[in-house]
Amino acid sequence: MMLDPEFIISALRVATPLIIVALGVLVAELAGILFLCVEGVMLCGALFGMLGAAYFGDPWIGVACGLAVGISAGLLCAALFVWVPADQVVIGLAFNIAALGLTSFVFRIMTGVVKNSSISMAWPVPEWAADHPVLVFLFQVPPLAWVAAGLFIIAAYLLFRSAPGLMLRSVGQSVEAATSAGLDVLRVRTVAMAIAGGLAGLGGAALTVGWVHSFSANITAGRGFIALAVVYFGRWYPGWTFLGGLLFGVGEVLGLNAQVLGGNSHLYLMVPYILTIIVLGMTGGGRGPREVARPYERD
Amino acid sequence: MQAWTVVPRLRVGAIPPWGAMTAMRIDGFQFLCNLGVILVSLLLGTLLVAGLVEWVGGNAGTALLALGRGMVGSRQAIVEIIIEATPLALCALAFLIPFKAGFFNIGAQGHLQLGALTAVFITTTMSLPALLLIPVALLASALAGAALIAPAYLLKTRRGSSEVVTTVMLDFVALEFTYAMITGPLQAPGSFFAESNLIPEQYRLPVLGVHVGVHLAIILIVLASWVLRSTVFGFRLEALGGNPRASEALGMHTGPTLMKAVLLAGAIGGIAGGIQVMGVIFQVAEGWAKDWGFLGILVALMGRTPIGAIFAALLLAGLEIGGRHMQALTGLPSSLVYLLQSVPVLILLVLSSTRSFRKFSTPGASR
Amino acid sequence: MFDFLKKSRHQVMMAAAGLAVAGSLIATPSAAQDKIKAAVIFGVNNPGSVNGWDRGHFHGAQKLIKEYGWDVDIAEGVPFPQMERTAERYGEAGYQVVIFTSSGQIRAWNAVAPKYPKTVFAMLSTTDSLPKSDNVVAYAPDFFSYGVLNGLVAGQATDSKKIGFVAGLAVKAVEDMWSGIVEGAKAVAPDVEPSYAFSGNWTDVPRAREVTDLQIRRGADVIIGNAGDGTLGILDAAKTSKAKFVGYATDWSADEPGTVLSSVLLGMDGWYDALAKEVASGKVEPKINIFGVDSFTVVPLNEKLLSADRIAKIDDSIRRYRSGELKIPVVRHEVKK
Repeated sequence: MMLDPEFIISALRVATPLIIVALGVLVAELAGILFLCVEGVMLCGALFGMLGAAYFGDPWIGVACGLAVGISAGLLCAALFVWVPADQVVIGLAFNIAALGLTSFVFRIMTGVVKNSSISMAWPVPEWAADHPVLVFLFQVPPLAWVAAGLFIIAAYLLFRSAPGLMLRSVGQSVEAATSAGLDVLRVRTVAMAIAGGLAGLGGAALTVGWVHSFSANITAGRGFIALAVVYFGRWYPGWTFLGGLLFGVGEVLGLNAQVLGGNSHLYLMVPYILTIIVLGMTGGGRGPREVARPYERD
Repeated sequence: MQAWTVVPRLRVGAIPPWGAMTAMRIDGFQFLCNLGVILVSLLLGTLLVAGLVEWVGGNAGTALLALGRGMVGSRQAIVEIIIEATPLALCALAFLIPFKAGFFNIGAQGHLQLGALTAVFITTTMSLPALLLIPVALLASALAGAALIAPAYLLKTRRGSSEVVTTVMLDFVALEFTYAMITGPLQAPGSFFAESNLIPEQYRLPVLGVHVGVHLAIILIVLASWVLRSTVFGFRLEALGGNPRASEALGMHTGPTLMKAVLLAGAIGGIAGGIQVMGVIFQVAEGWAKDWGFLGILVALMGRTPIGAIFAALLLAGLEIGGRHMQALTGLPSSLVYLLQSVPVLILLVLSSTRSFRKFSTPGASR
Repeated sequence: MFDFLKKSRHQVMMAAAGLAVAGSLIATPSAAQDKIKAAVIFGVNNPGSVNGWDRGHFHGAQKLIKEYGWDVDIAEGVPFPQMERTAERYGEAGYQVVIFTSSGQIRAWNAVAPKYPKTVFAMLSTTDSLPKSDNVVAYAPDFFSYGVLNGLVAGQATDSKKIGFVAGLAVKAVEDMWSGIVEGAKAVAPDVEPSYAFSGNWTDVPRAREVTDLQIRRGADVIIGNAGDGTLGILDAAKTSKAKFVGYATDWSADEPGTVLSSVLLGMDGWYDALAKEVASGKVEPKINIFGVDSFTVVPLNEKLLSADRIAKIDDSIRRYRSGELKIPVVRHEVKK
């Protein structure tokens, strides 16, 4: 069953938003920021992505809207816990509630103004490929999954093999070392938050525009936190984080499939979470960037 | 760097660097300033919401009056707020205790669910004299919470797995398990809704002005506050949190302390659920629990000490109760209630942060 | 230190209390009006946003306002622990009618109705008992015959001989509806295989979507969706895989005209009409009023999705069921727990 192409596509659909958001969390974490408001930013991206897609009639514009709103939200978060600075955990949690209120409110106002439906982003399978199962499969993979994979490859390269990436990671490892190397910690973190927020917003849009083609209040329902968990699961390595997201997607679809075995469906809905814990137990943990969640103030 | 020296850096009363603001000494003047900041934040927050109310065509004046009435307009409102603040304060405690040792407990919501489920199970299936059964049920709910957090503890200490992941995952597991129970074995027969049987009258928590769960919670919190500040256990907890690597180097001493702290946290989360279900709601049903576990983290970090958490809990509970009252009487969108809760908190955090850092921070205290 | 705390907190409370008192003095007393003051209680947020049960209620509430001229306050997003208190507030404030919109509010109904005999407490959802007082009334649909209508439509609209029912949680109303679907489909198309699946709650859209997708991949080409807000996901999965969708409670045609085959309307406006008339007559009878198949309407089937002769067959079977010609026994089909 696991090798059934439909199963894999389904798992990819579930995993794609998670993976994109997890990349955003990864960037923030490596810069030393505990991105607890990821849930709120993802939700904002989900709403405005949907509104953009419905208003302009083009899902890709919607995704771009989600990205833009995510960047703005990321910058707002940066203002709150990099520039003020205020406690990242509390701000993060309060921001999530505020985002829930705001998105529900805006959605309500926009009901009737914009239709709550977006066009599918899936690429139609061209005729020349219709006979090759592998090609058909590749065309059925959600477009945003390819985007996610691409983003990960770029991010992995930039973060670990380029100067800006090194700057970002050093800020996350030790602010003293970074400052003595001449880095402006605040500025680097702001850029990191813009990227992280953008990715979280993109992931949110991937949920609405790319997956369910509609919005509903609190549609993210904790997936932002799952993305956070996925980053910790992946021990802050892009590759492992990517795999962690995929694992969760597989787990969730497995749980949904298993309903047919009979018994209470809720017991099967536990599967992705238990699976994640088990795999985490088998692979052990790691040490994260040391500066995460420490407030930094420029003296 | 001093990180590898054996002597841990101790600051009694200090809070470990993880996610904490500058430790503020509690004294009269500071408290007045804090109160002022809180009031200003509330004012700004409600003004913002009032603005939104006007924007959607509602009457801000009526809304604000309904809010005020819902918060402090009657003795009943105040009782409601106290009752609502109880699980918040307990979940805050469940976060604070292991937090001092550097362990992020995000599992309180799950412990709450399991604790409540256990309490309901015991009180609806067993029959013993109430004097015996009530404490047994509460104890069982505490054990249930501790049992749920145990895997997270084991995975952290044996395998180094991040408790952030495990506790959050277990939250979801507990939620699905609860649903499984209330749509399955524990579902009230003939019910039209996903709910358990009601706890029989004799096993509900007695009321002394307010249900005794509140009294119990206050006792627990005061006790915890004393333990954290004045006992060896509390001292050791600080040591763990102040310098985890040095504590590791100290070896066996850290094991029991962390374990006690983590299991205690689970137990407190469990009891919070047990109290709530035996004193207020009397059944486990779909939607019976609000986000007390997660809001508890917010409350914990706002209050920063167990006693402080009580006040932060009262504040948030007040906004929730008042906000719901306002919504019910004005018909305004319920999303405004979320804004009412979060915006003042955000403003408060921003204001108190800039203030605290300018006035009260000492060099190096931000670490 | 604690003395000081007590004092400043006391001062805050005094100030706030003063504000509240001043406020209540300033507030204008409500003028004596003919308008009936009513409240409708929703546990969900934003009840009008998604088609289905809650929109049906929301629409009914609007009807009370516009047609009957009632003054209606809508409480929404009321958390389960606060149901009772919310209903009490309305009783305390002297509202004439309080309407409950979900079976999850039965407990609050039972607790509050006896306390405020001057207020009519109406439960517009499935229940099998009344609170212990006279100021109550209930209106509920017969979910079995409702399910039968769904089964008649879906059973004859399917080409793959498999139909899927996706619901939120296994509550009694859902079980009754499922039983009706099974019996209805069996009566007109015995070789059709109905199957069910749950999304797990009444709000999760992505999960509902994937659960439906699963059903479709297992062969179902007609989907009946009843998962609250999550039904948006069910509809989307049906749309993506070009399956046919049968809508729940309200008319879903406008949502996706190319996917929605039909909707079986619960006729919830009728409940509100009945309530309004009873209240207007001054005498509300404490009784559970069950609305049967006569109050349900099947929206004319989408001609783009089904050929005219098949539509005619379905319409005919519905007619025969309504008239009693087609007898479908009430058989309970258990949902595995």
